[in-house]
Amino acid sequence: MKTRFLLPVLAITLLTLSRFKCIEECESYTDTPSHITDTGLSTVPLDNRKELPVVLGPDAQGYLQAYGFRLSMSTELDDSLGGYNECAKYYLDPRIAAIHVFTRKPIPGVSDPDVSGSFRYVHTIDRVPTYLTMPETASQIMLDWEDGVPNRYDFLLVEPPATEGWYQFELRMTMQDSSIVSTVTDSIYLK
Amino acid sequence: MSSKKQYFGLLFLYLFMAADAATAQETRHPRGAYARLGLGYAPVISAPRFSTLIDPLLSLPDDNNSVLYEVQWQSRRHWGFFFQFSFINISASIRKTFTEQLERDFPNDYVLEEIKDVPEPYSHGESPVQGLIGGSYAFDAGKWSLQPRIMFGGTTFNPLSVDVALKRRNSNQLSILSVKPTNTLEDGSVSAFTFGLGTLVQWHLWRRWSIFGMAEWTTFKPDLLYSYRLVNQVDGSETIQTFGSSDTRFAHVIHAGAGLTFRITRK
Repeated sequence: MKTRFLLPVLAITLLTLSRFKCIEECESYTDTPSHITDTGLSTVPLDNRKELPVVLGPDAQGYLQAYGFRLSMSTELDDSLGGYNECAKYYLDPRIAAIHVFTRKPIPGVSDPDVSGSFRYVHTIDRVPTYLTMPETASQIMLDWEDGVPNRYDFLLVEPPATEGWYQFELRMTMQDSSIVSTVTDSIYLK
Repeated sequence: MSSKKQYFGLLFLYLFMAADAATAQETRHPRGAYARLGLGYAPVISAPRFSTLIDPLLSLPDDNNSVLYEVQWQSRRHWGFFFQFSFINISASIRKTFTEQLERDFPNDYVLEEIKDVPEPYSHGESPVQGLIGGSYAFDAGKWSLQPRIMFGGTTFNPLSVDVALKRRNSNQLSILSVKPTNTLEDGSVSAFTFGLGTLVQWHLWRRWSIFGMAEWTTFKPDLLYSYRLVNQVDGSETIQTFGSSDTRFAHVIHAGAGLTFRITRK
């Protein structure tokens, strides 16, 4: 009779012990710096004609009125820290001070290569997207940044050039220590 | 037949039944306290109107069922006093109605909506509730009791607020529309004085148990303001409007239901 209780008791004991072990493993988190490098940044073009932006395939044309790009950002650790640790809490160091977008190809009628004013960062709260201007973006990206996962940020060209043609943009992040990291979008034909 | 003649016909029938009941045999609904539990249908047949976009958000749709609780004291001289409390459970999908209206108003946009207080699995907000006290007069006849009644009290309902993103088709243009009630109570509800008339028909079943059917009309006039704010996310331009209900119509609720009556006190 008593043996039928043995299995559940054993299972509960194992579960309890494993839980204690897990808690014990991550009892304290260590704040660990991570940083952004050029190689950690990449972009893909977006088609935002419909409800939500979708990634364009290779060699696809873009849409002047609904073009954007998605920035992927992964961070790196200092060599001295070894690999990623499950019980570490990562933060960006140095932090992002400012974000600008520059055009790499001349835009008819636009003399300043800094076209940050034509782009907006898409910040979504409770499924409702809002646009932030580039000066507002750096601090928001710092808030939106999550450690341990690939971070993706959408930038949309809200004031498109007047004419169709080949376009290419560079996203440049100025860090708080004045260093600059940047990534360049693929050249794309927008019409 | 004109509607006036119909009303007179119904009134005549009602008075005939009342007189007939009054002259009949000893009642099975004696003096004492009664408790009632009923279910019903409670359409809001007319509600204050703001603009077509805001109206679904009032949480006063025309398709509702209801749960009714009532305690009554019935005197020996046929007069009664009662307290009635009813939940008007919204059957209609407020989210669907609102979204459809939004799509009609902004045909060139995709609607990305978030209706606060309306979690996805449910399609409406909180139920309006009515708390009423009133007096009745019973025309009793054997197993039957007919009780016209007059009521006063309050109606509380929960107008909704929304934040909606309007994404222009084939474009990166985006606007945020916020529609919010501005003069609700702290918990987001609105209360209004309510007046009502009705009648209850009761038939004795067994010992202390009876069944009842009731029909009621209640009316109230909520004083409510709604703000409408449309912000273009690209250039920051805003359109702000305020809509008030003070000059608009009363809300009218018809309540038809049935249920069980239990006589709490002994004969």
